[in-house]
Amino acid sequence: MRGRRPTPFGVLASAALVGVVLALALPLVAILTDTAPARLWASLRSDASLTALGLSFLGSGIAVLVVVVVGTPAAYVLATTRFPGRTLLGALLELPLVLPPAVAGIGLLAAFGPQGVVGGALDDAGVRLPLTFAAVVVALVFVAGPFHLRQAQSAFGALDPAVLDAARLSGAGEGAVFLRVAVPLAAPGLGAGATLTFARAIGEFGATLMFAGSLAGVTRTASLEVYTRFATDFPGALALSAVLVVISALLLLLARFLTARGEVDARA
Amino acid sequence: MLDAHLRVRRGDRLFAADLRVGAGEIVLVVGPSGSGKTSVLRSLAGLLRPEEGTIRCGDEEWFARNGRVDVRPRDRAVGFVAQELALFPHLSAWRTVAFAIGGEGGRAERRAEALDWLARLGLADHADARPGELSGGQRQRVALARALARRSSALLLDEPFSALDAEAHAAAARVVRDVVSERRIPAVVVSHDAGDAVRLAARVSAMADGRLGAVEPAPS
Repeated sequence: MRGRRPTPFGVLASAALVGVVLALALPLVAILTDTAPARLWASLRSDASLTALGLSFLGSGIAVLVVVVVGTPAAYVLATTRFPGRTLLGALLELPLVLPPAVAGIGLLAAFGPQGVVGGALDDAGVRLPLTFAAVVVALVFVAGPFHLRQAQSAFGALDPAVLDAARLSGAGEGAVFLRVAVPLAAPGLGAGATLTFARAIGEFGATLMFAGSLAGVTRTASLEVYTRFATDFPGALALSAVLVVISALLLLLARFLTARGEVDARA
Repeated sequence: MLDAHLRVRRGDRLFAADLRVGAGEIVLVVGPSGSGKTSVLRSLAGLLRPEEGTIRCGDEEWFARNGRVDVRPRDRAVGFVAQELALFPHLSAWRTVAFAIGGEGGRAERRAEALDWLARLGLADHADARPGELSGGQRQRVALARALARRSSALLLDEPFSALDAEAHAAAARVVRDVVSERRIPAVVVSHDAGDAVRLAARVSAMADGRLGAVEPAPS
């Protein structure tokens, strides 16, 4: 029996895939291969790198916490209730995903800056946000939050409404339906959303730079540290970039794994 | 006493029901599939909103004045089995039943009570199994146990025995009968099996031409 020959379309599509992989992977591989292990280690042990990585992890961690605590119930409402303007609101909440970082930064300054919409009131209350670590967190929440909102909405939207009704009919109030049924069932999707948010927050650059500045030890996160070094210490910038590539890759892998688990659970 | 007069719309079809079920009485709703039995039952539970009508249970008004009174499903306190079962995929059988027991009492007491319900329905050996690990008939009995365990003012069961073999069917029907007479509550059971009238000592009400009414006396 003759084996099946690949179709012309199959060959073309496979070639396209190879092209995609090369285009995406080349810069990443270059970062990793250009970094000598010794150089990497030395660069990482520098105080500036460690401080910047620490700020990135702390800021992203706090941002994810805020996004999960506030965003999860918000996504539940969006996914499980019908109200006028729901589609519009959903699109609005995803806007930060596609905004140019500079626009996001300007928006944050216009809102929370000294002359901003609420910045003035904050100023009167003695709170100055720009150029502080809190500003870093605000920028991360704004830019990365939509990742969780989006993922959580689709996780809650995939739940069987009959199961939520069964919980109500079993005597559960709306809070218990959310906490004891919806959240556990959506957990893989929520985990994937939180992971993507964390990954995006670790990589955040533009809005943070404009809104929080780049103060060493205060607001200079790892990605800002890469940018600061790239003019004066290219190998150092490369080494820190390599670390960010590895961290991001691991986070995306985790998000993929969680999403796949969610789909398996939903089919069960 | 459950007393319902309602009209409910599903798409372009309109179903009407006149139903009176006494305390401690079971009414078996029969009729061809697609005749609206499930829609009527879901209206009684508060999952579907009737276009018009009244629903009363005991002293309570559940639905009246074209929806100006419309008690939430949770507050109607009914024991409900949905045809699709809608078990909690993340909870074991005993936790599922304990979920419906809720209320006061510690975890140990709730667990003991849940295990008791599972044992009554022949599921003593499956208390720790999740729905994914159970057969269709076992899942159906977990759903029934969850409905019966709820402190309820009425039972509304949609095809609760359809996946059971003859022996389990007879045993489950006996448990339903016992619960209804112990608690002196009304029960509405939707079934395609006319034999359930005898198993449950139920009056039969037929759904035909989109209309539920014409109650026949219980078979002797």
